[in-house]
Amino acid sequence: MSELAPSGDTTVRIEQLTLDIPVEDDVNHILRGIDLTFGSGEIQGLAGESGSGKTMTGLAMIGLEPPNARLSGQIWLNDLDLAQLRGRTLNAIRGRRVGTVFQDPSTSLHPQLTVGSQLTDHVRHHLKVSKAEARQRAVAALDRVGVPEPSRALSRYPHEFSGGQRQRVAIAIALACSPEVLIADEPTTALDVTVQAGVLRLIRSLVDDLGLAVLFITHDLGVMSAVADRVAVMRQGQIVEHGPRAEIMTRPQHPYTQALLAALPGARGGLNSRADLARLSETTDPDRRSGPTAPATTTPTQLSEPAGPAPTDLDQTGGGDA
Amino acid sequence: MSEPPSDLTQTPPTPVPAAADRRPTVAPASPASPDPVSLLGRPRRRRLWRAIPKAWRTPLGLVAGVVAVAWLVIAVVGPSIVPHDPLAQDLPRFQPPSSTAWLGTDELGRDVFSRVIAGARVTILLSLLLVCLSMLIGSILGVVAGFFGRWVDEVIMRLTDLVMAFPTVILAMVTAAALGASLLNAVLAALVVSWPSYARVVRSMVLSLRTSEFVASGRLLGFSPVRSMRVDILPNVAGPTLVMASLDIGTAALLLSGLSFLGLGAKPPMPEWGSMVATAVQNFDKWWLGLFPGLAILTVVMAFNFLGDALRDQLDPGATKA
Amino acid sequence: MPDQPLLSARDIVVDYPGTPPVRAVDGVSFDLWPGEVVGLVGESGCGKSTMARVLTGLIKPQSGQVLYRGRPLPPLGLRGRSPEWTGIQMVFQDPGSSLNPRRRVGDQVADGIATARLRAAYERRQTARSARSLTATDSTAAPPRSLGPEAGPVLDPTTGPGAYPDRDTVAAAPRAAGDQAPATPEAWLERIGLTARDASRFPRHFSGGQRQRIAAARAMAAHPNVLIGDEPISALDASTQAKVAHLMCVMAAELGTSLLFISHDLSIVRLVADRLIVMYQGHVVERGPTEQVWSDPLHPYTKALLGAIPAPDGAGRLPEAAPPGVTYSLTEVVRSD
Repeated sequence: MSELAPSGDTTVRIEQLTLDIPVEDDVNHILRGIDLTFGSGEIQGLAGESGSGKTMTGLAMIGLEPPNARLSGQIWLNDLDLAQLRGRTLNAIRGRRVGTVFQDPSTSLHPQLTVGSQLTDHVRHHLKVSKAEARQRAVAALDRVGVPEPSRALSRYPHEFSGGQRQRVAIAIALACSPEVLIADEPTTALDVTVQAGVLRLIRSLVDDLGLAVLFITHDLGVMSAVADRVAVMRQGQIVEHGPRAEIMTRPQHPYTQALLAALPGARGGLNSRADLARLSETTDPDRRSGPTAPATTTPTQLSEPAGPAPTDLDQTGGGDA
Repeated sequence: MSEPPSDLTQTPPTPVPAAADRRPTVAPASPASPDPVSLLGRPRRRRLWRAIPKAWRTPLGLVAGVVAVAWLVIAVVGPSIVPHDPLAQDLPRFQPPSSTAWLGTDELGRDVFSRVIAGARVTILLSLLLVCLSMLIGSILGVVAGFFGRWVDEVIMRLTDLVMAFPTVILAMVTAAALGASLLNAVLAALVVSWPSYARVVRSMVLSLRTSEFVASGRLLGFSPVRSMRVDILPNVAGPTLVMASLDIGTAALLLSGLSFLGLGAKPPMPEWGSMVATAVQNFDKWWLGLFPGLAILTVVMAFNFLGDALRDQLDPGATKA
Repeated sequence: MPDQPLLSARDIVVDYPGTPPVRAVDGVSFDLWPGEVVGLVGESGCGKSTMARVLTGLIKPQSGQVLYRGRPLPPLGLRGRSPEWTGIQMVFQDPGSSLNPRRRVGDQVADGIATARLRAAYERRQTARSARSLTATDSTAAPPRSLGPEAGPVLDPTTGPGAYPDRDTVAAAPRAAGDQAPATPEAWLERIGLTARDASRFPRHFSGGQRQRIAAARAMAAHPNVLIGDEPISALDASTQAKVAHLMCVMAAELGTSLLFISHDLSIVRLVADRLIVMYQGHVVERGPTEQVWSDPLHPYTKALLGAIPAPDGAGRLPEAAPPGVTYSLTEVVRSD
């Protein structure tokens, strides 16, 4: 599948990325100085709980942050600063050089267009190729992600596929224009665990065979441990710890990472028996708010709560994933 | 409502302790991110602003609120503050706006300003009455249909279909004509056409709430149907229904004025905006006859519409989360 | 009568309307014994959530029966549920809708307490009535069981990987346990790690994990004999999941409540459950003591399910993927002990 392989080596370098969203007469600091570098043939994991800003980091890379957000810092794709791009130039990068896979394939695919038209439209928009050529690319992409009978699959609608197949189709769309970078935002969270395994293997093989640079965003440290080469742990808009997978998973240094792993079933030093469960519940104060007046959203007061001795309180932030 | 008190009262946050680790990626508080403490020292004016519920803090919401309250006050005290008797025909006919008759006089020498003010009572109070009645009737039928289902639901819903199959104004005209031209009959006619939308919306809300998890929990705890309805369902239906009603006040005013304009509502000497516009149409060159009652209708309709929008924003569960 | 299960499903069949109708559950039977924690696991569409709704009477099965203390459970219709059946409670999945958004959480927990009082009064009346009829017929049979977990097999705490601390003491002194249970909404909120002041706040002021705790407290305040958790932790952050699951188990142990814990995620369930039941496409394919199923799965589907769980050991091993399009046998494997 050489036609799907991107050309040359790519490095993504995120430098001092901050993102603020004004609310009312206050400001939510969603990202507070992210530094992250990853390149071709590598899966960079980005772990964190809901509200940590991991999804927003991925969205900011493709210019999909909320319109009222204030972004600063640089996102270098080789020598191109994505943070400075607007409009057409950004559109030419998004989907062409940076592919994206989202959590829920049933909403990220258009329900009323065939898989084929979604794939070929995308290819023709970015690569300006003939219909036949676009179709050929579409078939190759579907074949590469393991959709059975790719040429027949082109004329089917997303709802005719199972959840796992649908996510493979979404990956095929992301791959069709031979992007250098793939942002995978919780790509297996909505899938059953037996299906998840296949999709994880697919992403790994894409990286190994095609040399993609992948930013793999997930809340699930088990999944992280299976696919990521390097892991960055985010909390409240900052990367609190960053390092090789094995280091992070077995010798975490930051109290927050330690607390995350302590609450993880099956991890070393995590939850392996009822006694561990009981210990976790005893040592950790239940998710008590700082006070009855605290608002439910992430405010500076909550953000800057002292991290304190490990394990820290992990269930502070209410709402959805930022 | 139980808005959480403003976070002005909270203690200033302490900075995040930098993690001491061999992969120190927690950046020290970057100069780019504003210090949360600086957000606390806002002028006192902010506090007044905060006293206004969030959704009303828009220019439109504020203006609409002021206009609507002004009209309501006029509707209540209007007749006692008018400079002339709205029925008295003691001024020269067709006088353009002047210092004696601020908005001019009509074809019988009545003061237009006094008639517009006096007309507020008729239009606004009757619109409120109409909206309350149709909300009451529609909601009761909707709740009954949604709760009992089966043939009860079938009968009520087919009845709403029947009413909604006719164009609103035509059906109201037919009803008003059948009942005879009087203001009260116009209200009855408008009632006939306006209850079905409430019945439908309330029914669908009851149906979806009935299967929701907290209602099921209540039923498992042994709630009787009446208690389930009173405690779990109705309070959750009330908000959206009130929003709908407030959006409907403008429409009701328009419908009642429309019926009067067509001669099916207010009878001649009575000051009513719709019939005032109707006489203005016969004297088209006397611009002040139609302009001012028309403006009155316009401002009332728009004010209550914006008011409904603001109310919806405030009651929206997404908005109240914070 | 320790030989009678508390809740049992007998050959449950559920069809969902459609063309053709979809058979969500196809002949499922299992028992829930007093005081035990059972994990019902399986992937999406296996029928586990449907079973939860059948077991509470929220769905009427096409065929089959749910027996609660040996009596058929009536489906929950338009009429209110009699106190006789309020010993079955449920915690739902979605923290956003498991509580009424427009009521203070204290009031909602108070509903659970009121339910417990009503049922206690009902059972006292029943006991008195049957005692009268017993003296009338001069029978020597034992009076019916009253509220509480005293009957039924006491689980041997050595069977599990460290059973919940309170279970044996609770089973020995059930009355005392009932007395220890919080009696006010404020006490319940403190029991689950909130403060008494939180009673006057609304659900929107709490995080997802806190809401699920409150929902569990409301259910437990009704002193149920059976608590069914339908994916109660799936929507929560990983660290919160473990804590909420543990809290539910501890509270259940304190009151001697049987817990049916439904989840697609085996990794936490296997820590809290005494027994596992594995469902696949509407059928039970394997069941047995947790340790046995976990360490020695017999059914090919169970093997695939366990093999697909990624190990968080930092070794970077990709989990086993099932071959595409594979289907498994629907016949249950019988474990010979």
